[in-house]
Amino acid sequence: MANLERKGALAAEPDSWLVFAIGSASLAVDLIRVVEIQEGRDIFPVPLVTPKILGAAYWRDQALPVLSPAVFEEALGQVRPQVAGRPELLAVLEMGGGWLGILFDRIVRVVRTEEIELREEPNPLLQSGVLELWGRYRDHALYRLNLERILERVRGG
Amino acid sequence: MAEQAHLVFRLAGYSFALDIRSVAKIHDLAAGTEVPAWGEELDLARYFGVEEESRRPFRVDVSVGDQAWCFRADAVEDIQGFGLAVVLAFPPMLRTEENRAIQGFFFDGLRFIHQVDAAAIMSSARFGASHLRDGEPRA
Repeated sequence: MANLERKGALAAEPDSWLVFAIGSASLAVDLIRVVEIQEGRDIFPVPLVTPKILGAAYWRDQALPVLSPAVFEEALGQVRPQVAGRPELLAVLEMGGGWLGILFDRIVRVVRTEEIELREEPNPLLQSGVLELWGRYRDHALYRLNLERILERVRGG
Repeated sequence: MAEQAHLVFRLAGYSFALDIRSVAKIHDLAAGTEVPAWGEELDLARYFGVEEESRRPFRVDVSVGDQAWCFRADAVEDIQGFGLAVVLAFPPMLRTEENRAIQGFFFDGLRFIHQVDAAAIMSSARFGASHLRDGEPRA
């Protein structure tokens, strides 16, 4: 019964995921949310916005808000060495009727849901709820982005 | 909107653009000439939460309706029309009552210049909290 419920839940989930790395951690986001990936974009600070936002980048004649890498690093308990600088890759995600940029270090792969060893037990939310421990991929823990919670954090929640 | 002339000034590493129609006068405080009072002085760096220790050698006098106020800036640039710049709206995802004075950005290919509205600055709750009283030493 539990398995049937789980299969039913999976049927409603996306099929393909972009797996990417921040430091040594692997994260996944629904591929259909990924509009574009760019490298080495300038990001300009914006006053009077939440510190969860690093700044804004020029993208398709818009000011694209870019999430601070510290949001994921804090959730993962990672601290990026100062000398390392910020991640250079920028993924533009469609969310909440708008677009948000997230920074990461490298693309791991686009994977299908069946390639992921999903956890049998409920997925624990990491600190702040922006990530959930979702399963394992290639013997590494895989965290899934909680886009709704990220949006709340960006909007000041 | 892009063709309207703006005064570009720098403050704590940020570039801002203010509609020239709101600007009454610009003073170079290092010139040694007498600078008359012009309403209350606003600490604009404190207002925008970008405080940074600086002498701020320029004072910009602002006039909105019949109200006069002024602020100090690190540098002032040429008056610009931004005819060739890209005008970017403020991201709706980030819009709050607090940042209402930032209307959007001019992107000139090198930097974001924050387009600010003098009337919106004045009507914001942050305005009263960012005043420098007469004689108050600068932080």
